[in-house]
Amino acid sequence: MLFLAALAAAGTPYGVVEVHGAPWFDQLGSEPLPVVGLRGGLLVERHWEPGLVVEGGGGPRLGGRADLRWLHGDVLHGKASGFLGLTGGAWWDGDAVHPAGGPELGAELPIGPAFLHLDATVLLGAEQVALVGLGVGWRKHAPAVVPVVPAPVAASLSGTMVWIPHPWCEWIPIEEAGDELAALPPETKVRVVKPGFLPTEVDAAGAAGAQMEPLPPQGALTIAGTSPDRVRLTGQEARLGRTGSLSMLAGEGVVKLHVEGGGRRLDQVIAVSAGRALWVDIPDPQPLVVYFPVRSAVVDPGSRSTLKQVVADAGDWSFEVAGSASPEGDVKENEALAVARAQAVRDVLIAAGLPAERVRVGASYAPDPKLPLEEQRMARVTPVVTP
Amino acid sequence: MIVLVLVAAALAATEVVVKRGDTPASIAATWGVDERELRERNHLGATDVPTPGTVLVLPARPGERSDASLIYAAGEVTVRVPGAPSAAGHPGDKLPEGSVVCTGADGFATIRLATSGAGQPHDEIVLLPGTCLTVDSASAVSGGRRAAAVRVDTGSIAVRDAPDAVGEVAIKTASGVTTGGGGGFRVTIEPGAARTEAVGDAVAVIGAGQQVDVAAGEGSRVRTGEAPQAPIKLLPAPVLELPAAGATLDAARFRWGEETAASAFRFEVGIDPDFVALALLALVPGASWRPPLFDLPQDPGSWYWRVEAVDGDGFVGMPAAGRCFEAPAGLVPATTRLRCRP
Repeated sequence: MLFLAALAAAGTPYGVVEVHGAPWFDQLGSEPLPVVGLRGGLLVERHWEPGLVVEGGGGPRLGGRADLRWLHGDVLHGKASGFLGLTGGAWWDGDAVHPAGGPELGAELPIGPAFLHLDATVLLGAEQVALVGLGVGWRKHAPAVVPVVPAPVAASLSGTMVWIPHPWCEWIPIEEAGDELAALPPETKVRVVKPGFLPTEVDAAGAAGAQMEPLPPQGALTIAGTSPDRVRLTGQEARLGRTGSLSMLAGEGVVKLHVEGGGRRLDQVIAVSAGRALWVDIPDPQPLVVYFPVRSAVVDPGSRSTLKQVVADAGDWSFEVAGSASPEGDVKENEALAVARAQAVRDVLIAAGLPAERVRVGASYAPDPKLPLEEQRMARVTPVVTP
Repeated sequence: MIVLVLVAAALAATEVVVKRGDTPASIAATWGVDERELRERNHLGATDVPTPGTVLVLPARPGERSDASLIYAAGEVTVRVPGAPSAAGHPGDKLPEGSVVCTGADGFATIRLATSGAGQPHDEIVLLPGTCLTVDSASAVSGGRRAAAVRVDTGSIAVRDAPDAVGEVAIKTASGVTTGGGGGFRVTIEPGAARTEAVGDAVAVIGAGQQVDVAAGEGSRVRTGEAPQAPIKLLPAPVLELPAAGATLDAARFRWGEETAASAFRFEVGIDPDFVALALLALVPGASWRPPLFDLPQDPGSWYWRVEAVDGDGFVGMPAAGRCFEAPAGLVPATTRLRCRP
């Protein structure tokens, strides 16, 4: 009984009591002796049921044992079920005490809060004993499923929703969720959300009293670009991490975002709203094209100025330069011209302050014949992530 | 006054939509009402047989309940309860029959109909932005059999799957009626027409007294005054590629499988895996999306996304299974941030 009391103290509320009568066979095939018994148990985790049994009867026979049953059906809600179990204990035959243990096999058929019970038990020990039991029992069930009549919404709870997992799979106003929560195993985690409060996850048993922390009047901001980008937010310098993004909580209001890197410079004003999460995408930097006159690899002053600005806005990016030539003239000369154009642009970039290891000349490429000839004589500067 | 309101609610009318093969006798038997009362209530003669699409009012019986309620609201959502002015809608608002729920251009709402009991089947209707609907009948009738009817005037709604439910939920429009037992369908109002897409279960689309049965994975359009068009196949669910399930969303960059027959894709974000509570809806031209600004409610800190392909005729295809993503660290305190489940 101490065992049962301990289980009850552990918060397992679904108990069972059964009375049974059984023919007792000392040996298989021997004359049956009538015995009656009483069993008490507690249902744990819906399917496991430890219990204690006392039996006595003709012979005389007197026994006590503990058992553990696994019931496959939903007996918590009054469904029929079969069960398998193991039992162990001792019995007294008037002369001596015999320890014994063995398997149980049976079924229970619900009739309202009670049930009919049939089982066969074999106790193996120095003396072989078999019991075939038939009895009645009473089992405490989970609260019956009854129609929900929504209660008036208390102002303090307005908008609080709880996510009820399988088989309901739905958000329910918490003040309507009493039955669903009660039918869940008490330790089941459920989500609780409420406008203006941080969400929380609590045990089903404690959902109604969940303590929720008010949201500060701030929103969440994620700046997503590329890892070499330099970012300034409302005057403060920040770096994008390895992921190429920067996340922060930001007070409600306007945030000024400035981005530099890859030869571009962007300014954007962002409105941050309390309780919102905002991802701001920084567009990838675009390649810059430098055009050349026919048969020339000289960068003109206008392009030099543009390339200097690219270096000023390079951030931690690197660049790849590749040249091309229009198809007039000798093919070999044109190939050399394409390389010379790329090299000339590289020289300008380095002269403007870009470290030499962050600019390399890539393979020349064939000009696009669909472009006008003057647009085929060029070098393309492509920002790349520094290895 | 309170007594009068309670009596009115208890005796609220329950509507059923007549389908092909239904007769007053079969409807009376199905719903456990008296055929003579049913005919009288609907002004039907002794030999009259109503055409498909006719809405019949069942004789009211004490004990029937009307328990529609608003269970989710985000953005602009208004509720007008009979006898009261319009007001902002909040989760938990009760919606007696005749209530009108509308969502603004940025609003999402979900209403719950015909609840027959805790843990029992019930219907939820998700209102997309720019939708107005009227709750005509939300009663659970004998033994949990439901007869929910909603009239949609503008916009688009989705009826959540309720595969084990008994009875019907009917969506009435100016052009026709869509009715289904297992939920899992969408209805969208178009100029002079209503478009139905059956996603989870078969539905019947009725217009001009004609009924077309639409299987799951099919759609049909009914134009005002015309019979519904023959069912067409919906486009399959796109395969979601990036971000991976459970990933941290460092950048709002999404990608999914191409669908050559698609004219666009519908992109959705929900705060629950069943998309009962929607947070974002967008029409995307290609099989990837990288919005300049991507705005979500800050909580719960993890969200679900999915995509549907839209065909050239406007039918929205089968939805991909929702995939979870999480906020980057630091946006929600770690102790209260809800994580994606494996």
